[in-house]
Amino acid sequence: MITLDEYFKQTHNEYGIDRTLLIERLKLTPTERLREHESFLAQIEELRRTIRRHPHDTVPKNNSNTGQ
Amino acid sequence: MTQFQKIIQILANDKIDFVVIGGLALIAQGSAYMTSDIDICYKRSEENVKKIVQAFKNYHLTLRGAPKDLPFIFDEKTLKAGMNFTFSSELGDIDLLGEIGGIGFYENVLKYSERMDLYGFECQVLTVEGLLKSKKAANRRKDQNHIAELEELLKLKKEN
Repeated sequence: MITLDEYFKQTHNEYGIDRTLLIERLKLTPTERLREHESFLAQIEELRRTIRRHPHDTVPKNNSNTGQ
Repeated sequence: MTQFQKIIQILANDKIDFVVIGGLALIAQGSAYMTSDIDICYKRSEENVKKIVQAFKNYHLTLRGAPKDLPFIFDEKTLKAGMNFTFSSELGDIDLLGEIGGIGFYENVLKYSERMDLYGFECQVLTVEGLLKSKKAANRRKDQNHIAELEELLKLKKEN
């Protein structure tokens, strides 16, 4: 069994580039890569729109569902 | 959001001589990078410049970030008088580059490109080697991250 540190060294190069991410991208066609990118951009745009609509909304301090 | 597919479709359908470079080429080659504009290296022949102007004349190209009162006409004369342009348009942000640092003009950029199917259109796209060459020449802070990723991509592509 390997440690998390060893796993990180196996999956990332010396500059911190995540090889697993690139390997997954290379399984897609160029058009699929572009479509995935557009989908990310659309999600970011939606997030920006939501923030503009509700600029004063904040996460309640006692909210334990932070994903951390 | 920039309409990448529509811009590629226009360039391909109008038989414009171009190479996809920059962020979109990075993504097409497998990078996890994100970009909001499209960078194109174009051939600066009279015929090609004419085709570009015809193809985009209805999309209201303006110089991105320029003062509104700066006179600008998107025509052949303007394109011939300049080299590299950063435009805003109804299709999104389009950068038209006549020359890339580290590689040169379209004719040389073409040598560092490969044919790829993008959205169903056959296009020339800058290779990983070409991207590395241009990024190393620019060598800005953001390029250093791209260089590290491109070198890993090159390794992975050679392994497969």
